[in-house]
Amino acid sequence: MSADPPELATVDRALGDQAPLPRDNGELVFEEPWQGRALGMGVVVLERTGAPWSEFRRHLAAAISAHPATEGESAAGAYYRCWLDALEALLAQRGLID
Amino acid sequence: MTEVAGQEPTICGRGHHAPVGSKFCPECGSPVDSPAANGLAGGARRRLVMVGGVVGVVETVRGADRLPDRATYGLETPREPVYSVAFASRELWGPSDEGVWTVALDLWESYLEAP
Amino acid sequence: MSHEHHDHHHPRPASAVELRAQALEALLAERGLVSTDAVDAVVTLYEQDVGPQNGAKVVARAWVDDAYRERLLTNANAAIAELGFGGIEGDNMIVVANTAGVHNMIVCTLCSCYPWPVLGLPPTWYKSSPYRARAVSEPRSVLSEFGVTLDDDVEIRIWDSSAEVRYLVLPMRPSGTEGWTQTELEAIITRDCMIGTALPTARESAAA
Repeated sequence: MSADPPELATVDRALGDQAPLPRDNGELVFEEPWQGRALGMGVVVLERTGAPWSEFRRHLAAAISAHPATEGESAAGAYYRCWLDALEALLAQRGLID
Repeated sequence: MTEVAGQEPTICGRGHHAPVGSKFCPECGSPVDSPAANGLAGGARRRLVMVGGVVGVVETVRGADRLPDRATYGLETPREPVYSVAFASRELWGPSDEGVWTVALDLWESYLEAP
Repeated sequence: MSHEHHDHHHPRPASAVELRAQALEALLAERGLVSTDAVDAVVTLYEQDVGPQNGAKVVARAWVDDAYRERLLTNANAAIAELGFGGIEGDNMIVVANTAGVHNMIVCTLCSCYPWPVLGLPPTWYKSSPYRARAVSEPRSVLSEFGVTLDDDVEIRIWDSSAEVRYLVLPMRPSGTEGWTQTELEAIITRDCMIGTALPTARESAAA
């Protein structure tokens, strides 16, 4: 049995102005399918583990700060790369992955 | 004359919605059907009003709602018409390099005073 | 407009980060921390997220269908609902039409009320104090900062959503779009056009 995914507005509020999802003219930007999957993975993992968004947001802000966009990398590409970093960091810290 | 979008004709001069085709508003008895009879032409529309000391013109009725400063707290308050009221920029801010423009606000009837 | 799926006629090698994402998903699925279906569900839902494309559809339809435009200006809620849109903050809509003589802009000086169901998330600048104060007190300056210059004889009308009504601007259809399909027209109708801080132009349509 699976519950409906949280509303996107919930995710937006949780990420706040600190690390907002990339948007263009109000629409979410996914340049490649992996970016959407990264977002989906993050949402599902948080739902399943019960980890709060504040915890994920901390990891995300740290990842963005540690590894900002490189030469030639798009804003969305950099963001979702950091998203993966943050997800791995959260899971590692909780002992769920190595 | 500027284009102003208003409500469909099943709204009475007091801002209540009435079933389509009704002649009189079931809530307050005001005539519904024709623009002339719905209270706007001789009544509210084009009425000069004062809001906080500024003169504006009622252009159309939007609907009827309870005053938010009472309704929010669950206090008893009847619904009253909400009007679209147009203010000339000159009335609000005086002369401007930009010329003149209009600011339209939606205001509960309680907020309006006679000029 | 922003996330069109590319034609994969020529398969290209996956990028490093793409492989990484795939590997992570496989690992998490193995550990029971995600399921492919659950991730699919999130992606599908969020890709369909309400953005200004709903409003763009309403405007494009009004541009090609005069009877619809009339319905939209008379009873916006019903006309918008015809296209399947609506909901909280969108069930008390008024659409205001730009004409050669009138340019409309919307603002919420008290807070930042916004017609979510047709325009999606409000832009940060719309919620800012400077916009909320200056849109009503110096609209031409604000418009010029957005790159919009209007003739002196065009009347500017600012709609302040001070009660329950939410406003949407119906911009004028630009020249150079004769014969365009609704889909092509939608692609040039931006969120800012429907707030009143931009004018649609017949740049080459992303959908063409």
